[in-house]
Amino acid sequence: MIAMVYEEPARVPRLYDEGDLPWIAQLLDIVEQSVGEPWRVLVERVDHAPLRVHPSHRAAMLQALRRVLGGAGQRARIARRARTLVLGPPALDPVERHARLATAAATLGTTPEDVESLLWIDLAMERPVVLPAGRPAETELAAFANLERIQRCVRRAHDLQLRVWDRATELVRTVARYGLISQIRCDGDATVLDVMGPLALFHATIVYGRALAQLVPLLAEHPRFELDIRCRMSGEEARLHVAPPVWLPPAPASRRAPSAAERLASDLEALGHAVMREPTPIVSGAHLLFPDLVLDRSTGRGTDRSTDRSTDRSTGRGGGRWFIEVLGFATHEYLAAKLDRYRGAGISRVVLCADLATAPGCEFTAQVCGFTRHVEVDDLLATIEHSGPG
Amino acid sequence: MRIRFDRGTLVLEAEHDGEQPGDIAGVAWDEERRAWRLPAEHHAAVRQELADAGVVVTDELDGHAAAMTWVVPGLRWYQEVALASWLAAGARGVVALPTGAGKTLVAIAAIAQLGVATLCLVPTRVLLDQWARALAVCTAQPIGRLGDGDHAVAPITVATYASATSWAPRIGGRFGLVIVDEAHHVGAWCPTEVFEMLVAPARLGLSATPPEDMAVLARHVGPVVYALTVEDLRGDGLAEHRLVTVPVVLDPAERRRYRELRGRFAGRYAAFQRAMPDAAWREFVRDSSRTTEGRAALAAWREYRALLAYPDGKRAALREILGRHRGSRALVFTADNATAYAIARELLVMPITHEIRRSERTRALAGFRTGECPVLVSSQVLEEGFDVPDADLAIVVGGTGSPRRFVQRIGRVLRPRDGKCALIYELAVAETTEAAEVARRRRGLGAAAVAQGGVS
Repeated sequence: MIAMVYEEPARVPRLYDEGDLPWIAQLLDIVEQSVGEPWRVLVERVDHAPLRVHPSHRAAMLQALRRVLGGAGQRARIARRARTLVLGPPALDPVERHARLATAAATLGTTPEDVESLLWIDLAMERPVVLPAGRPAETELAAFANLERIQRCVRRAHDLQLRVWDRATELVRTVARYGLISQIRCDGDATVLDVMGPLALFHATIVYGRALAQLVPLLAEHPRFELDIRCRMSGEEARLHVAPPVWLPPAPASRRAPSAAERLASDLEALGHAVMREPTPIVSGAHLLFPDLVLDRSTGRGTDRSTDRSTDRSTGRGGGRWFIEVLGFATHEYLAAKLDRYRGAGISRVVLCADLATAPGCEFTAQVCGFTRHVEVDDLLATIEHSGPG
Repeated sequence: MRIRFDRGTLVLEAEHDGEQPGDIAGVAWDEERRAWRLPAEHHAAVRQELADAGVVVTDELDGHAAAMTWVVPGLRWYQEVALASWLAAGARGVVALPTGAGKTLVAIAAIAQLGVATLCLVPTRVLLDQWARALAVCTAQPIGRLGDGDHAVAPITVATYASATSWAPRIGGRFGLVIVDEAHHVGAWCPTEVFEMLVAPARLGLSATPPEDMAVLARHVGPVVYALTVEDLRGDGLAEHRLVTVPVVLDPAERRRYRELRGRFAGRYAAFQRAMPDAAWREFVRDSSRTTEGRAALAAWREYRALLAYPDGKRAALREILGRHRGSRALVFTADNATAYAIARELLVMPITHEIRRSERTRALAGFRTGECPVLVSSQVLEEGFDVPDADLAIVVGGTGSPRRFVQRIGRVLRPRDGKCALIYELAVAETTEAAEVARRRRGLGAAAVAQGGVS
């Protein structure tokens, strides 16, 4: 499969840069003038404003503005309360209507006009425009709009190829977390990830587009990258190419629960073991290996961030530095191939942790520690003792 | 040979010498994981193929039996025939019954009959809630929910199409039966990939309006195994009904504006059609968005559609109808959410849209049943599967020419009750494109409804 070769000519999506700042500034002027008005009024004003850009760019910028401003849930409770008090049988004449609003106003301790203005303030087009942190910067808006535009392309992607020159680890882990499959290889000094979903092995599908789009925000941390997207645009196959300079918002801080590898590292550290988390990827032929941690059993103290293989020397059984990789899905052949790749890189002290829920029977392989949900430290150490010195 | 489920696919591994997973039809090699894979929905077929070849199989996916007790209400005659037809077709296929005829009950009877873990797919959050409640009435076991903020998986689970798409890679191996409500959406709103990622050999589709082209649905769910129309059940499984078209005229200013906008659009559209007679609407949109004149034509189209959605004539007609039927439980259908909110704002009635949260929706529906909130207004959410036995008045303020949507809409008021005769009002602006749309959508009801007249 994969190791994809993109032969069709690439298109470069229209992204926002310095040239767009004047009209974005004009758009933000309209936003400032619309503070306090419902969003539908702002949208209408922007639609009819003499901005010299395609309507799709105005819409993209307004969407970015929503992302920057947030606040969708603000005052939702008040609106729901007002609706509960006011909405009911149809108020077919003005007197009946005003009486209903007046009754609700008395309950809420406000005026009928206020009640009417509160009724819909939680709905996307009805809530008022507010700028809680003042006028956003044009560049910030452009960065969010760029992110949205790239993600929109990726959501329609069958597969993508990502080339980075630094810090591939978080990308690799994100690919795994979203259940995607990838082939990772070295190409000169670049790391290349060919990413797709399992069903894409059988036919082109965009069903993984949302998962693939989760990789895009992470690119903000890469000063150098190349993203090639094979997707469907307007009913046609297309290839898009994105590379810096691209304004993107800062990558969001990860809010995910700790992974099995992170929990294992914490458990080991709590027991006084020296652990290095997320060591540098290891080159093995054309492949790259991403161990989750290194357990240093020679010193009993913390280790540095180097993966210098000279430390793969120990005298005692189970001593020295052990590379640990926690796997999700595995087969016997996959485990064997992975161990071979580590050996190919000159590393024999490695333990693969296989989730028994997805890899039944794999725990009987040497250098493999089976686990269910949580890797037990005792099981890992026992596997090391059995496997050592490798 | 070992068969496992992983991320919506089957993984086939040789366990003994001579076993060749690569020889199985349709497998693909996953180089990264070094595994032979097959879409999960081929599970039954691959088991059969291996059994025929005498291969010993270790199957992680064996057994979807769910030990649950069901108390299913008695089925009407046609529901029993529908269930029997589906079972006779090998527990695969689509049951096409009109809205209000009790398709959900057929599905619950099917689950009870097979006694296996079941995934029910529904298009909307409203239906998610409705299905979960309908199932809970018939069993004491907890019902799983995926969607609308819930992430609970149980042997009987209801999921929105969107949630099923993201969850199927994880849970696709757990179910023996999949039920898809509003099955005509399979292949569009409900991606076929969801079905590819499900092992479930038994599949039941439910629809009031199965698509003309059944190829996609038949491949993943099965063919139509039983079908009845509104006319088949009129006065038996469905309430009697009367369809009244109310012609509406634009006032002079609206008329002038409509003609101006329509002319601006029609000129451009006619030129496009002359140049590309076989082109679809979306191609016109794509072509138009590239030029200033094209964009102006599209803007004119949007503006006159908005004008027709709720002109003053419709506003007055709606008030008059609601006044005449004060106290009735009425569903008001609009062309778009903006109109739904406009009506809600003017008449202080409850809108039901995707933006209204579950708790508030639930309260509104309870209020509708008790009569505290006797009018609900919506553009799409109420269209499909919304179950209100006591609604007897539908007012179609605006919509499209789609016969399927029209059948779905009026089906909301056709649930039977002794002596009930549902009234369906259809507001249409005369001498505009709406007149043609009325005629077109009535085809969904059959010749009798078309003959009841329209708007010129």
